[in-house]
Amino acid sequence: MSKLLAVAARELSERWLLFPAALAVGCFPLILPAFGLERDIMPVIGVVSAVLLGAAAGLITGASMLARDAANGRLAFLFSRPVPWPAIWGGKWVAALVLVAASGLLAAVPWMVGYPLSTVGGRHGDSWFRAMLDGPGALFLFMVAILAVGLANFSATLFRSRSPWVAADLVLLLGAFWATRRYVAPLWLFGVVRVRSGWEVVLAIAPLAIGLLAGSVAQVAVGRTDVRRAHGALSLGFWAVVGVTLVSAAGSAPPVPPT
Amino acid sequence: MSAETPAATAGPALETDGLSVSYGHTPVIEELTLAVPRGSVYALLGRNGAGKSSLLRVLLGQRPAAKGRVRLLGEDPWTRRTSLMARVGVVPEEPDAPPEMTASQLSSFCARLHARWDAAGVAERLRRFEVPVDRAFGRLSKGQKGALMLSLALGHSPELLLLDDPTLGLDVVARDAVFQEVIGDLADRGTTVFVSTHDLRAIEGIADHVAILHGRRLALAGRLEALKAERGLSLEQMFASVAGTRAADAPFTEARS
Repeated sequence: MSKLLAVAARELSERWLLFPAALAVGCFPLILPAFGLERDIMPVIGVVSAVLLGAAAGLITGASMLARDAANGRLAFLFSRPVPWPAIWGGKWVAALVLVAASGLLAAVPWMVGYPLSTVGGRHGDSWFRAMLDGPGALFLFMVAILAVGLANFSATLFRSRSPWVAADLVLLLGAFWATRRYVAPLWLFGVVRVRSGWEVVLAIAPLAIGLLAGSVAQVAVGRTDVRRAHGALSLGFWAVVGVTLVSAAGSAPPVPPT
Repeated sequence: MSAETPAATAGPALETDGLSVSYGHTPVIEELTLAVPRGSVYALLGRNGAGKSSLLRVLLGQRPAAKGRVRLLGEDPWTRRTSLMARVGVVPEEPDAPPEMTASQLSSFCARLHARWDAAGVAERLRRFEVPVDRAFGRLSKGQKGALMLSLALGHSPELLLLDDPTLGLDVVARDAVFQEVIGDLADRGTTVFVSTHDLRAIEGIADHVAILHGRRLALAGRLEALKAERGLSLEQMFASVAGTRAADAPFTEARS
């Protein structure tokens, strides 16, 4: 655990500039009244900019944490020391998720201090915050953070490896779209599955997040410092989870009526 | 810390048996069999693209062997990488530390990763190499980066030191400093040194064993003095005669060790 924390701390210290940047973004809503906007809109603008900044932090960190370090040889610095791969993987992901959360929260601090929600009157701010902080809301944001980091990592790995896996990924992506349209869409169409609550939304995007996490585990455990090999492992891990999900969905899909 | 097995304490420090390494379907090393005795300074020579760095990656557990067997201090580096890296020091061909970290920050970071870490020893080496401890790694000269990597590689007193062309691109002074460190500091402690290099003149003075990779295969291996006596050639002449030939003509010779 101490090695995981050491790796995470190093990742955070490398990207410390995101923290003052988040505070600066958080000051933006405070100047809106000067431009004639009503005061109650401030929490909406603040929450939206905090979420966008958190997502941007996830994309930036995800694109650099594994693919860039493998491509420029810096991952070998960790792999040639007694650091187990779960500590490398965990440290990178913990740092990425902390950066996403901290960026979002820091971007909310300035305008919340300047205009506490209790003084806003609850027209916009209270409802936004209640939605974000209840169980499914928080879990949904966590899933979005994983998706932002994971998709950025997948894209960066794909871009940097330039391996035959790029073609395989594109073919599998098209296959996944076709299978989703053929087998998953009818589940909604015929009412087998209905996304009504926040928990069901979380459940619907969970396979994608789990696939990205599983892929990056394989990327570090099997690919190690070789970015092409890492791409192969990442793709296998990700598409295995997506494939199992789609096959399960196909198993529960009702027969498509003849047209 | 796990108890050491007899295999881990006896036998060669490094051993490969019929080792093949490939990238996809492209082989870079084929059927490599060599043994590095404990306490020796073993030089691995070869022209650019001979597969030296690929071999190092397999030895470090960073990629698996395509075929054959590898043992580092008696253990498989692919499956036992973490425990092995506590006993092995590495100086890569391209210094790979995070560019924004200073030498002192890197030493502190490594101290958190190793069970034992001689921070004073690292600081003393950095002083001797005249490496600024408060300058970011990315702003150091190539020689300073190499010296820093060597200092970090020795911080946990490794049993085996793997050097991947550590003097590539260094000036004469920096090159001598690296090799003097290897001779003076490590020979006394019995540390095994496995070094891949192009620097034939410098390595001739310190290596006691040598191997030459050519055409994806081991072309020559053995005790340096025995090889020189047997062939009546200097290391440079031997290298030219082996690595200068076509791959198919490269003879494999193993001198008595």
